[in-house]
Amino acid sequence: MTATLTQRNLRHGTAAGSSASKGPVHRRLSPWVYAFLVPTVLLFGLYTVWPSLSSVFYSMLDWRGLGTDRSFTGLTNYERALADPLFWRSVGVTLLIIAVTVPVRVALALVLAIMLNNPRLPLARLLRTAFFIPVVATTAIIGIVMGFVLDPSSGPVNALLELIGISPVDFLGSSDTALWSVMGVHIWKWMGITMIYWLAALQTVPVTLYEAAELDGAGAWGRFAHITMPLLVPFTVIIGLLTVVETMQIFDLVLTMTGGGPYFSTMVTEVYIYDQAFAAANPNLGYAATLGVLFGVVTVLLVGSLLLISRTLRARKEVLA
Amino acid sequence: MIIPSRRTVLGASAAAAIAAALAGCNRSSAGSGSSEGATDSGVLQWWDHFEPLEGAIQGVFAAWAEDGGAQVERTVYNPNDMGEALQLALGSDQMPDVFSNLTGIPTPALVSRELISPVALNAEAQAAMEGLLVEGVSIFEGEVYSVPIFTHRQHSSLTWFVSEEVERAGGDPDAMTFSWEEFRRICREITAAGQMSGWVTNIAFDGRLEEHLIDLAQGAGQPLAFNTSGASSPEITDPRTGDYVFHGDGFVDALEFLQSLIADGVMLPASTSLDAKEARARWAAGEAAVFFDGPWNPGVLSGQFADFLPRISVANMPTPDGAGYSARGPATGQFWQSATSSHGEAVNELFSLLTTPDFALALAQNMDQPPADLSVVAEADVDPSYARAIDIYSQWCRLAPSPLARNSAVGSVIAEMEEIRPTLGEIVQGYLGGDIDDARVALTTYSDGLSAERDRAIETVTADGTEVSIDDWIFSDYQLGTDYDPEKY
Repeated sequence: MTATLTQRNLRHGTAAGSSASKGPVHRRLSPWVYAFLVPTVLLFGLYTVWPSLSSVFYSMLDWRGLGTDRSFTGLTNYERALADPLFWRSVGVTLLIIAVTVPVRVALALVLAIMLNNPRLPLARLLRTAFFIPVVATTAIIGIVMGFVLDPSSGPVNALLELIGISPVDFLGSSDTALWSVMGVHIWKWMGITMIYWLAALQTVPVTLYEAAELDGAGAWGRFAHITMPLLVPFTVIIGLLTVVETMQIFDLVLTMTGGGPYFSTMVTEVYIYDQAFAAANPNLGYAATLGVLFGVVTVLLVGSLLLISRTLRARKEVLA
Repeated sequence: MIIPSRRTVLGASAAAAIAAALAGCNRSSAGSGSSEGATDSGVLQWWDHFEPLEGAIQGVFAAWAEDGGAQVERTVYNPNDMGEALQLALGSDQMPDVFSNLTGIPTPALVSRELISPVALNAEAQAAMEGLLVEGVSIFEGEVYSVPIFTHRQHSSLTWFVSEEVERAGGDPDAMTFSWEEFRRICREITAAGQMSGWVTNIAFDGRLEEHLIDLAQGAGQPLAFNTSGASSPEITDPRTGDYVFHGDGFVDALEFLQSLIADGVMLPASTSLDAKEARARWAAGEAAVFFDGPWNPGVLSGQFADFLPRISVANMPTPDGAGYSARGPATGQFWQSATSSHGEAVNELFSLLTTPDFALALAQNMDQPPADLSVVAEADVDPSYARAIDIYSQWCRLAPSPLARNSAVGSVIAEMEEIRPTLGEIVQGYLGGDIDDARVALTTYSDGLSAERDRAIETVTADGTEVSIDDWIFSDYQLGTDYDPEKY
């Protein structure tokens, strides 16, 4: 760690300072640094590292999760999972949700943020609060309430559709519409938090740039295309990644709105894992752990790929510049 | 005055945080210990999922307390949560003294894994249970493990309906049964009147759909063997061959009957996303006229929709000719003593009290599942629709043969089997929702999957010397509509 800090000092802090000329500086770290690290290391180890390692161990057990009756079966659960069409279907549903909702959510939230960032917009604070309220509402409650809102027999949405001559739509009961309905609610529910990320990002754009552009006669679109967007590119990657990770945690909304149905149409991987671990007639915690580990691998691959793509794009841009 | 430096304050905070964390761990341990302490201190922990039985079960606890018994702490779980609670309790050695078995582990496997322990009934209770306890179901190697408090003469597919609506549609509200055609006609008439849908169901609850299909298939003439009075498809086979027969005509016809109700347009559209509780609430709110449900329906209505209760009546499940029988396997016990319990004597007394006529009467008055002794219903203060449901069961429900009762090792085979997906209930959901086009193909795949899994499980179980074979599932002398009494094994 000392060497790393020293290299960092050489790279950044001492470029114009005197210490660079005096060679590497070996600073002795105070024992308090380690003391302050202990709680973090302890909690991270207890609640992140240990459960992760345990999951890998459990994934190699034939274990119902009931009592201590379990046996080590090596990679048998993995063979079963790789041949399990429902697991792969659930991964497909999860990835589809990510592919559809993340771009929509990120783009819509940006539009909202730009609108709400306009100091001349009346009731801006009220609108910000209104868009943020769904974020703080309990997801399970939203799932239940949406069940009533989208009800084909007596829900207000279908009542409105009926008023304009459209026959009732079975939003959550039909496998043709259930997934899209869940995605719609998910976007609405979490739009506010993405909007807040964008609002924070917009604060980093110097107002002087807009003023200068205005003086040069740039219109709203010109200011957006040539000032706002270029300066927000780094944030786009971060916000996109955060949104992907948040979207992978869609478990509670799906469970309360559709339970993964009808007929697996909304069965995201987290719900399938829960199903195998607790809700199945014959629960199998060992197999559920295997699915969890595999889903973890999928998550790492997905996020890693996105990071790699963004770095490649950034590097190419720097080369071109 | 000494002013602490920022570093000192932060250091002290860190130390305090660590101390708090350690104290937290310590409290957890103490919690665990206190749980054991509760058991040791004389409080008997009792977990079950029979919420409507509050009065009856508390009555037993009160009677026991009057005789000087110790305190009982009852925890009622939602059935969906009970399995998780037991998983956690088993994993952390915090099992209650008594629990209802929603672990997913068949009782014989609970016995072989030494998770439950036998009970000693008093002489009166033994006499009351004469002929009701079956080896492999409630008795293992001669020792009693539980007592059935409910009868096997029941199913969850009774036709509950709004009397005036059925009468207005030209149906006989006093009819004990309906044929499929008559049922469809009545539902069409009611729907056509425009006030409500003819039928509401719970398509989002595939477990109940599975039960409905099994009941309706029997009504359509498919004889079935059941391990116990439960309706879990891996435990249900064709008694003539021992095979899984979910692709048989009885099941396919029953599924097409349900589909015809959707095709007729009589189903409340919201049914696609309703579970049983929600469907019952919609029915009671006047959105539909007919609802399939179990005998507990009037009990739930009396608590939640009391005004609606006088308007309803009940008939048996609809069958092709209106004269179909159903059957279930031997009634199993509902409560089991954990092997870790230190309240053996108390549990013996409590289980003995569960066999008394007073408890059976209290059960009947709760209007939940019918008591083991159906005769007490006549003297119970119950809604007429509940009494009528019991009459229907007495007339149309029979005792099915049980492979488990023949050879308790069948339970180990079932416990070894992995779940086949989609399950029977999921197939019903998929077919009714339009996701499956060919029901027979899907059901055949399901039957084949279960058969292959059972073959594998038999191989695994017999590898350690246990004797069980496919012959244990065959009862060639059984006929649907008759009772398969214990002496026939």
